[in-house]
Formats: sequence, C-alpha cells, structure tokens
Amino acid sequence: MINITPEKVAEPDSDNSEVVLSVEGVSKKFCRDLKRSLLYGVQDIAGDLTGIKRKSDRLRTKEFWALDNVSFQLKKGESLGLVGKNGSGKSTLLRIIAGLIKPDLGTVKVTGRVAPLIALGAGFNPILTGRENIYANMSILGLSTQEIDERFDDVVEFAEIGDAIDAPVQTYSSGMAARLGFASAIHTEPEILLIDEVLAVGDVKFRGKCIRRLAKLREKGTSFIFVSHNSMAILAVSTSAVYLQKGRTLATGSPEKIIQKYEEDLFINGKLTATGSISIPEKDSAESSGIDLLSICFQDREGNDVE
Amino acid sequence: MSRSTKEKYRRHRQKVTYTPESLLRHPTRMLWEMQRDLLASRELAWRLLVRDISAKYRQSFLGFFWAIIPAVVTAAGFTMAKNNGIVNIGTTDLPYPAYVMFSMTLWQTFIEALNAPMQGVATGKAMLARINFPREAIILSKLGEVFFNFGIKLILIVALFIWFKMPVTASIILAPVALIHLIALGTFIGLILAPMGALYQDISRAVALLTGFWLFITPVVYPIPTSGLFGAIVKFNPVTPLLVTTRELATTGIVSDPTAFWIASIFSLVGLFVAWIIYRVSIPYVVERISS
Repeated sequence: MINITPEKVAEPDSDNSEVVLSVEGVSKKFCRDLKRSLLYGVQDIAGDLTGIKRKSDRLRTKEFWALDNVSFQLKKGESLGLVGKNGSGKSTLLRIIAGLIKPDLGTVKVTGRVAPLIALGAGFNPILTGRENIYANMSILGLSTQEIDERFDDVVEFAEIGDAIDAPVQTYSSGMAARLGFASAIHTEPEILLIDEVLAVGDVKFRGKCIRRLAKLREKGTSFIFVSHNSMAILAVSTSAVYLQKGRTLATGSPEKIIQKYEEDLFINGKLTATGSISIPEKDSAESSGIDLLSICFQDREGNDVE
Repeated sequence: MSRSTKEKYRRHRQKVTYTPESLLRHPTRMLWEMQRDLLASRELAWRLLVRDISAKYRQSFLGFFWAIIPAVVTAAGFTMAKNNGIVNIGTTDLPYPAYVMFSMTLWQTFIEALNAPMQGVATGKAMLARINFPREAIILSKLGEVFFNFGIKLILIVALFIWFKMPVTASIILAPVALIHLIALGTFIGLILAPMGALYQDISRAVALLTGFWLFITPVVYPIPTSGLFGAIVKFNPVTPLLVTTRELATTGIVSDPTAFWIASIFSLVGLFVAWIIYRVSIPYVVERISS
C-alpha cells in the first residue's frame, strides 16, 4: 500500500470530464403523518402496478416536498459536498441516487456502481465473528466471494482489528465495529461513493486515515457525494458544493463560498447575532485536534465585553 | 456466481436511470432486469443463508431438534386423542402416527415458505433501507432456509419409513417436484403479502390467525373427506392437492387426483411469478416508509 498525504494528492485530470451522475429536476414528497403515509404508500403501489399513476406533481393532504426540483451534475473524480440543516433533504437525495427510493419527478442518471457509505455495518450480526461479518457485509455491498477474498487482509488491516477478527462482533467496542463497517464499505471501490456523516467514526487518528483513503480513491477517479455538518470536512474533501434548504437548491458553487453562506445563515438564525461573542463548548480529548478555539469576543480598554 | 455473469451484471450496471415511471411500462426491460437480479442475487443469498443459519445454531443448545419436534408432538397428541376416542378420524392409508408426522412435516414446510418472504423483509429492513442490493436475495436466502429445515426433517421421515416398515415405491423420486410446488404456493402467498406486511403489522397477525385455521381445512391430521360441505372446502383448498400428492408420491405411489394437482401447481407457479413482480414494484415504496 502506498501512503499518500493529503498535500500530495493530485487533482484529477481536467480533460477527463465524464459525467458520472446527473440529477435533473428531482423532486420527492413525503408525508409526516404516519397513518396517511402508509396509506399513500399502498395507493402508490397500486398505482404503479395498474399503470394508472395519479399526478405525482401535486401534493396530497399533509404532504410536503422533501426535495423540490434539485439538479446538479457530478463528473468523474469530483467530490460534491451537500450542506444544509437537518431535514433539508440531503439524505433523501442520497437515497434516491442510491436507487433505494424512486423520485416523484425528475430523473437521476448514474454511470457506474454506487456504494453508500451511509450504511456502515449493514447486515452485521453481533453473534458472528468479524470475519464472517466482513463476508456478509461486503457481499451485500455487491462484491463476489473472490473479490472479498482479495481484499480481506486490507480490510482487516485498515480497520485495525487484529486478532479480534475471529471473535464475535458483539464483543467489539463500538469504535471497533464502526471501523470494521467503514473499512468494509470503503474497500468495495465503487465509482461513486455516497458519504453521509460517517467520518465521525473512530478517533482522530482513524478519521485522518479515512480522509487520506478517500483522497486516494478520488485520485483514482472515484466521485463522492459528501454530506456533513462539519464545515472543515467539506472544505477538505469537496471540489464543489450544493446548499439545500427545505428541499430546494439555495446555492451551488465552490465549497468555500457555500460553506461561508451556510455558516452565515446558521448564525443569523441563531443566537449569535444578539451577542458580540461566540463561545464554543470544550471538546473532549478524542475529538480535539490539539488547538481548540473556545471563545471569541471584543473587549474595550477596561476589559469589558463589547456587545 | 461465475465471474462472467458478475461481469455482465456489472457492465449493465454501468448506466442506470431512476425515473418516477412505472416499471410495468417497459415489460421487456423489466423481465430482463428480473432475470439479471435473480442471477446476481445467488451468491449474496448464499452468504445470507450461511450467516443466518450459523447465527441461529450458535445461539441454540438443542439446534436441529426444533425442526423435528413439532411434528412429533402433534402426532403424539392426535394419536392419543384418536386411540382414546376423543376425536373421530377415519382410517388413513398409512399408520396413523406416521401419517400425521409426515403430513405435519409437509404442512410446516408450507408454512415456513409462506412466512419466509415476510420474515426476510422484516429482518432485512435495515439493509433494504440502506443498500440497493438485488432484492431477490433475501427471499432466496429465506427459501434456502426452508429447504435446509426440510433437509433436517427428512431425518424424521426416513426414521418413519424404517420404524413403520413403509414400502418405498419408485414414484418417490417425483415427490420433490410436488414438494417444490407446495413451497412455491407458500412463497407466492408470502411474497404477495410481504410488502404490505412491512407497512402494516395487521398482516402478520392475520397470517398467524389464518394459518392456524388453514391447518384444519387441510388433510394433515385426518384423511381427505369425501363428502359434505367440509369435503368441498378441503377439496377447494389449493394446499390439499399439493400436500396430498407429495405424500402419495413418497408413500403409496398412487396419485388420487392428478388434475387437481396440476391445477394447483399452475396456480402456484403463475402466482409466484406475479407475486415476484408485485414485490419488485412495491419495495421502493416500502423502503420510503421505513427509516434508515
């Protein structure tokens, strides 16, 4: 294995501008009322089966647009950051791209294999050993036994599981299980990786390793869609970004621009406009990167805070 | 799966388009995708089967015992009841305890096949909600479990043949065909109910209730009634010809009602195919409603 530090990562060839994912005018409606939602589900199934599809561009009672006319393209080797508050439709969008749910309007065209890093440790059975679970998990992610055999050692090494590989997963610490899930998922080597907040796995060291691994994959031409609330992570990994708000695309552009806008919005709507100081809760040692900003404020000559 | 099939699968997966359109609008493409996914799901189904069976037996002390014991207990109960004149059951073409045990084994296999798709979807919910794998895999793996369990039950059946000195006829080699049709009927019903069952809990409750009743209108603990309204109900029950034919082929070798058998078989196989389409169409709507 070649170790590459993030600084050395080469930008993907600019002439290789093959579009691997194109999302065109995708809309999706959801219903927050469970009973109604189930009923609509049955209606939709019946409509789909009989071929008489009712107009899907209109909302039924208590429905809302979880995604509303979202469009963007992703080229080979590009990495797109999705930002937005909780409930802005980021995960819904990822689920449509992964082919798990159907869009109500619009089209999604995917070239190549999509692997969701949303699903860490899907299909893990706590009774079985780490080894057995790697096989089950990677098989669910679409690999043949032969392909798993080839990657098995790399997965174990990456997950830093060591001898515990033949112990039942229920004896693992939550960090170990998460690392194993991440390692299995990332070794499937897909064309498009969907990453939903999973870089919160493990300690700082492991997270650094994950970021390096992602950079290496990107160099090889893997495209990413990246969802995170962590601005630094978006800035570190993305080549462009989309800002979603209530299912609509609010802005598209460079990650710096989008993050700036996103953070402005967060602070305008938050309590920070009212005061002249920001204080950030202290992080525990596992999360801290060494130097943490705890508070910023302005003071006059007497040392009183300026509002 | 051979490497070439996998490659073919991969190559096709190169380009996928997701639209709101109904799958049924493009029947040729749908059929092609169905056979592709079925082929592609074999290896995953095998993995899931191995995973589930090893987990099941690792957590069990009595293990295989549980596959056999229900039939033995039922047979013991009914034999006692019959011998003491509590229930009035006509004569069977096999020794009564053997008749009940054998029939009960077949009935159980049918019920397991019926529950298999619903269980598969219920236990695979988290996976279904997060990963787009061939959806056929969970069904195939559960069916594999049905066959595995039947394999264990076969030990009981062989023991029965030896203990009761039942003669073996050449027709026994055809019995698996009838058994597969019986399993197909169970899978057909289960597969139709599976998407609904994932949405509404009522389905699994109703199934538990109705299968209990269904047992009584199937000739499992009594021989086929020949007359009356009850006889007509039993005759109309599609499980009857399939279960009875499997039993007859394995024992006496004389099929009492081949026409009914073939009608029930065609009903089961066509139904299974239709249920498969319904399952494929429904799953995205179900996934939408189960949290990831």
